[in-house]
Amino acid sequence: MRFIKRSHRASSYERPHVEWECGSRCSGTTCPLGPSVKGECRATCECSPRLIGGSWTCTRSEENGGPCEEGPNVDGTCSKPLPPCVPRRTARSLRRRICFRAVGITLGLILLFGSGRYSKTLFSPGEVSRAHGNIGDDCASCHSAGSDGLGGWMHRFLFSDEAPNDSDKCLSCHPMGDSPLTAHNRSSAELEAVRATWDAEGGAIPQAPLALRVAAAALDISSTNEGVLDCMLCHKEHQGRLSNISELDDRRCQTCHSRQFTSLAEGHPEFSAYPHRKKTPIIFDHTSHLTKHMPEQGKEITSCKSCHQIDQKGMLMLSSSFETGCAECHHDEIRGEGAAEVGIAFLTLPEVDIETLRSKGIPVGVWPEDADGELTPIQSMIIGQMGVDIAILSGLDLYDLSEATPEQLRVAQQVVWLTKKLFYDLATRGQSAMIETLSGFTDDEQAVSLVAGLPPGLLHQALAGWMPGIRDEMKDAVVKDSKTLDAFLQSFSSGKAGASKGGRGAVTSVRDTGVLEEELVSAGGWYLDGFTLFYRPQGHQDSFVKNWIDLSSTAPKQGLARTLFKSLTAESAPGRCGYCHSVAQTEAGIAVLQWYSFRPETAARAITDFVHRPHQIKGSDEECQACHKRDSDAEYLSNYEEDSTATPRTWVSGFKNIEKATCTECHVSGKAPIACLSCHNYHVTDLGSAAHEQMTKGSPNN
Amino acid sequence: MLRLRVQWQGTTTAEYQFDQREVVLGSIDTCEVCLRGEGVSRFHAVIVNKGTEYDLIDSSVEGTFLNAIEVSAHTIKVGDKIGVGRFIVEVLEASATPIERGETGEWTNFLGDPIEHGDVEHLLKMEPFASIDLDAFPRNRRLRSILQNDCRLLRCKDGDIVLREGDYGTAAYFVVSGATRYVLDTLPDEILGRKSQSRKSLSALFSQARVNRLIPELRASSEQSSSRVLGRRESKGKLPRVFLQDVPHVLDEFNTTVLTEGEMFGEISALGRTPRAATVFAEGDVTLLEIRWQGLRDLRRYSPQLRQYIDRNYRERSLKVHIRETSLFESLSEEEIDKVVAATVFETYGEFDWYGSYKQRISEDGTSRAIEEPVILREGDYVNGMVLIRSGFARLSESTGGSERTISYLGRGDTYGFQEIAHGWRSDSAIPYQRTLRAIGYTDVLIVPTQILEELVIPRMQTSQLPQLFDLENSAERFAFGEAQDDSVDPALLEFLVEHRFNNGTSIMMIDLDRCVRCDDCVTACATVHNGNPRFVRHGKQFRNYMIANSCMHCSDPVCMLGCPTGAIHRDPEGGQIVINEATCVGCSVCADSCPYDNIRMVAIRDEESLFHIDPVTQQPIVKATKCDLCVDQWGGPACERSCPHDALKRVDLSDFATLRKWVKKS
Amino acid sequence: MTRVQRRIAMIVALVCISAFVLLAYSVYGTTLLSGQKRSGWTLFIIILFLAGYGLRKRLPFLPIGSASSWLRFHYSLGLVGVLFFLCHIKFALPNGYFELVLAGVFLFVTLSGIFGLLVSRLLPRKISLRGPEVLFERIPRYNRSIQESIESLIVDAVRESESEILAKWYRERLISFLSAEPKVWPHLMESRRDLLRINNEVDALKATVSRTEQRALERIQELIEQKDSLNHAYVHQLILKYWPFFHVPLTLALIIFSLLHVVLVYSFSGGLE
Repeated sequence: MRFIKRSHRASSYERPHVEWECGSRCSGTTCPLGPSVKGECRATCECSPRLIGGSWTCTRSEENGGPCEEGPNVDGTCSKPLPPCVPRRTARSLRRRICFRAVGITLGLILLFGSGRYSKTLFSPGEVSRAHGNIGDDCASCHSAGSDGLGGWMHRFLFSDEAPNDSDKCLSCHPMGDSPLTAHNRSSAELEAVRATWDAEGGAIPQAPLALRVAAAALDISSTNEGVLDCMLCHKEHQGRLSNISELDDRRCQTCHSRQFTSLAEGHPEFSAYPHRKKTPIIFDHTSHLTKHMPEQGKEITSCKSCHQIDQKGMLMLSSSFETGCAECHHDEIRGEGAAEVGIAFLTLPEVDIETLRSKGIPVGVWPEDADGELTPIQSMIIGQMGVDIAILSGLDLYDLSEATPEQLRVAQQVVWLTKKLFYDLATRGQSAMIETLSGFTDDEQAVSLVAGLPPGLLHQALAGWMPGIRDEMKDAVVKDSKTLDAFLQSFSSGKAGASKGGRGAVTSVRDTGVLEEELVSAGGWYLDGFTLFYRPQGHQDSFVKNWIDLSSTAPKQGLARTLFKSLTAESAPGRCGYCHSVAQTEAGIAVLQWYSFRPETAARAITDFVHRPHQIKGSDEECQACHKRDSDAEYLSNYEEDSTATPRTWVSGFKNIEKATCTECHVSGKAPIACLSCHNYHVTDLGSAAHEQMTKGSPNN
Repeated sequence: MLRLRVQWQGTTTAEYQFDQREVVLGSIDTCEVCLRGEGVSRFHAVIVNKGTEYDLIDSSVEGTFLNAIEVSAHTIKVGDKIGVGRFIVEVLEASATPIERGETGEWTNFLGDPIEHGDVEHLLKMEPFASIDLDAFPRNRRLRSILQNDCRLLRCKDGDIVLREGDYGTAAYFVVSGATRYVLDTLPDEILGRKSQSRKSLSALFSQARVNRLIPELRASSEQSSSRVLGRRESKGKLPRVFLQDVPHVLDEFNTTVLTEGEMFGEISALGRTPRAATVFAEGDVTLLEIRWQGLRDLRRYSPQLRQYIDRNYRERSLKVHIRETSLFESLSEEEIDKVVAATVFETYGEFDWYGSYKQRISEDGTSRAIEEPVILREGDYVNGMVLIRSGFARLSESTGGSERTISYLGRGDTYGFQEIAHGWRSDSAIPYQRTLRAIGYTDVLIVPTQILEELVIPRMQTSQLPQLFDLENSAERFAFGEAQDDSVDPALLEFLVEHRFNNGTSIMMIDLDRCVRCDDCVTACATVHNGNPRFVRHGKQFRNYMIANSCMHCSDPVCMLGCPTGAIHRDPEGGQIVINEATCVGCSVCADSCPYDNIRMVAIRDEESLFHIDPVTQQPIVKATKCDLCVDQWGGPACERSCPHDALKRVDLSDFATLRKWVKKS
Repeated sequence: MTRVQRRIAMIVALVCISAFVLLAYSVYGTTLLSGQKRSGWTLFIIILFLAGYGLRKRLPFLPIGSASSWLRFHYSLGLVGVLFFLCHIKFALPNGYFELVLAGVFLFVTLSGIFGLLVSRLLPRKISLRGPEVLFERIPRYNRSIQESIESLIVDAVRESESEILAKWYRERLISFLSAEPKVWPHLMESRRDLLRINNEVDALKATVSRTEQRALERIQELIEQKDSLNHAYVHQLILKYWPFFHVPLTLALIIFSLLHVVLVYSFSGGLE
């Protein structure tokens, strides 16, 4: 191609790096001068002629075609003027300008959208999950930096040294107990204790999966800034509306665990005392019921569902209530059908050795001779609460005070007078008097339920029969505690000691003597038998009996209360409460009767949740027995003897411990979910192990 | 008073009026009557005021015509028409009045003063000019015009340095009167007044980051003024000459020889374009005749005595050194060396200014084969001696059926023919030359006769040192002595390189077009390190996917340095690169025109407003010669090679094959 | 070490590095520690190093290694950068608007980089195979000189043969062909459809015109061939020259956006490691 010339005159240097190039470079000839510094065209003409040897010669460069034919004008100017061109920018200067514009546009976009209305939606890293839907667009609700604009963020990034801790904003809506930011929301001491128990009894530490071993080797995992685990460590928000932010895969769960294993089947420790971890509050020996009692009654129990139903959430199997489950057989027992003692002795005129007292010059006032009652625990507790030191009488029979010490005699006198006072107040002022008496050691509301149904009229008649002259003996003073007690006793010691004798014997009944008083109140209620006022429980959940039991366990005077508690919760005591409800120790070591079997709403959030519904395989015959296998030779009842050392954690369950194999039969990868979180909870209030009990002293679950 | 009217093809172009002693007519600007055109020599003729009339003296190559008759020296009168080239100079008035010997026109600023007419006569009487017979010279190249045109008289004072060792020069010197000292040892640089090219300081390096992207060829105007002093136009004084401060110290410390009247020196490096072998300085007042190489070449061509004189000089001085350097003759004793020197024949092949005809031939038909190269020895000739190349290049080729296949080429210091001789000596059956050796461009050759080698050299060498015997039967694997046969480099590429004389380059810019993405990063990098001015153009001759870019190749035989009037273009003493000293470059574009590879470009320099610097005398933009300086002052070598992102550009030194093979292999 | 050996060594190194990075990613995956910040910062530093190559090209005078070794390092570091990017976004599309833009810009820069790599390796061979070696800035001037010589040929032919055929054909067809902007895709695909079509037209014309016009047409055909190869060279050099116009400005945008991203992350990450 001849037009491509390369000689040094025809082809001068190419300058790709300069800013401007001649505009007419592609169309016309370029002028020798070229564009100015500011990019304007300075074209005059194609060359500047030269005076050589007296003649003007054209000096046009060979590039532009060499000396022209016409040659310069006579006056030495070039004959071919150039039209001015529009200088163009070279490729490189265009690129430089585009780079500056790109930077400008980017910064402009950032400033424009940086802190305007749209900055939140633009900068949010993604939609918030459905649960947080309502606060989605207000960043400040979760982020302390949310309220600042672009300037604030810059400042925060450049100058603030400690990072903002946004976890407390989560806790404002999701309270996690008192140490929310520690593992499992349990204090590190408890965690250490759990680890200790596991190390002690947990057996060989399984081999951790390879990935976790590598991770442990490569990274310093456990030192997550002194045990403080921010919520964001596990819960990653902004992953889209349908994301489940509480989802975490197994290996991440185990990052902090010292015992790491690959899956449920391989490496997960064996179940110990699962699920019957806590001693059941209601004493129900499945073996005896299913093998002995039920068949005897002719009831054929085909499936567990006859007593147990699943709750609405399909999670827990709740045992049926007393009425539907147990009443059929036990209701009559509560009322005392066929039992030796039917009623609870409330108040009685005890058989007191009046002669000795009178012979010793201790005024006792009127007292029925043939009073044959024995001091009832309730009565002795009430008298004890009034300031009388009944303990002195222990081991001494009131009806033979011959060897009694003067102190005992004095106490006996006090007992006599206070008993008369009780009867008199009840008879004359009715239940309000008893409430006032009891207000010394219980609140009014409980007092009302304690005297529910007390029959003042019945007492009035009985009193008229037992001690007709009592009215003029009694004073209207109200005896509530030891101070008022002394004043009351003073008023007797000086005056009219025992003028009249007791009235005639028991109230003669109008009925033929064949019918026992107790059968009269077969539906439960108060009755008089001899000189004792009895109460026959009306049935299950009898509030009178329940309140007296609760009072006896919480009353201040331990000794008397204890005896009352023992008498009321004895297995054969009327109402048979202690027969099914077991006794438990509260944190403070007080024995209480556990009324409820299992109340889900107050149940502690255990570390393991078992959802029953998916496991109810329809049509399979053994259904529940697949997992719960009755342990017929377990001494279930031994847990509830007086001397049993069983604690809520270490007790003999009526059912065999469920083996892990039962679960891994189905729960292997591919067949059923095997993720940790499908069975376990992270946020727990009860770690479900001995350490926990030691921590919380077996809090009652009422 | 002399009035002249100049006409060109009938039209009057100018009228002149002089009343000075001499009026020079010629083609370069400084002549009083500047006639630029066809057939006008630089100093065509001179009109001398003889006191009573004006004499016209011709000193041109083409000849001067007075009233259409060629004259060499003739008086002129009013109405005469002087023919110079196609110009007609009419004499309007020629009333000569005697004037004292005033200022004469300033000729190109050679070291010496312009020669006077009288001096020529004086020289013709001295040896060896006296013994030269005049009619041996052709009509247009008479001895007198050579002395007039190509020589200058140089008057030096005590201690002036005439030649500096290591410099390049194109002139020889003839002692007219006084004595000069020829220093045999090498003098330290500081005595010679040569400061080494220092690399840029770190700060200067970083200041290059701010690339001047606005003004091409910017030269600070302050800089320009100083260069004018050195320039040739205004300066009345001569170029500042370097002189030895302490002559006695140099004399007693270094051993020197004396060159007295009638002796010549510096002719070898002028003819062979080799650096000056030694330093010569004047002792006391000396007048020297400085002869340009064109004049020397013609003197040598037309006067046999002068040629023997020069050869004898060469033999005495540098041939011995050259022979002793050759590895073969290391083990010889002193007198054996003299015997070899005496027997060696010294020949030259090809034209000295090969580049002139070469350039013209190449551009004409563009095909390479047409250029025939003088044959030094042909395959099949009788082995009459071993060839030793003293300067220039020669091509070794092997005839394969009809055509010639280039095997390799030999540069200065290589030998050929010894293997044939050794083969003949060991198997005592003489064999002819196995290869053909042709001269490329201009080659000086020494031929050492066979019997000398058989007498002195071969008996002393063990057989292990002797080269292998030829395996004549299997001609394919015949092995050429000299350059190891490089079949690894594609012979076609080799052919191309030799054809275009690229083998002359020590740092040719080779671009692999299969890898070059034409991103011009090399040009931008070159511009960045040269204050915004690139020093090469990314186009050039092409062979398949290799392109030899138009960037100075820093030739081992730099023809561009020959014509430079002010010595601006010189070889960097340290690195050997050819660099241009912008201060002294006068923009005559001789180097640009003489570069056979078009690698030097003239640029008009500009000031801060990007306007041209105008030369006050000729009202034209000042022009400077520019070329690649191989980043002599940069850190880390040529910026172009380092900045090519795809490894497509490489400065290849063709004098040794290693870099070429490595790079071609790598790609 | 030849180019092939070096390339193999580079590939082996890359495979090892990516294996290590993926291992690190999976290790972080198994723990609660989120490697996001670490991989983010590494990615940022890699981007700065990659941009460093552009800076290096602006400092050719510094002896800090040749541009080709920097570019090779740029290629392999770019691949590693992509790997870190994928690890950083956990191999899933980010779902925030700003983060989508950021990921988009990064991917666009990477893709334009890879496009540049392919183009730099494939096109030079095609240029040197087909066309004349011309400087890109001078192609317009060469086009103009071809057009002028064709016009002079046409004028001479018309003057000699006094027939308007050539002039009319020139006006109708040839001017549009000569002045048309070269079409990129056909030249990239080395399709010579346009050239053949115009040659057929010339051959058809030749059959009907006189000797002198035929000679002119032959010369014109030659010039048309040269014009087509000039177009070919123009198209290829255009792509080679202008592809960085997408890559470089967007890298700057990417760096600025990632700075903003860092500021946002540190403000909102709630002190997480």
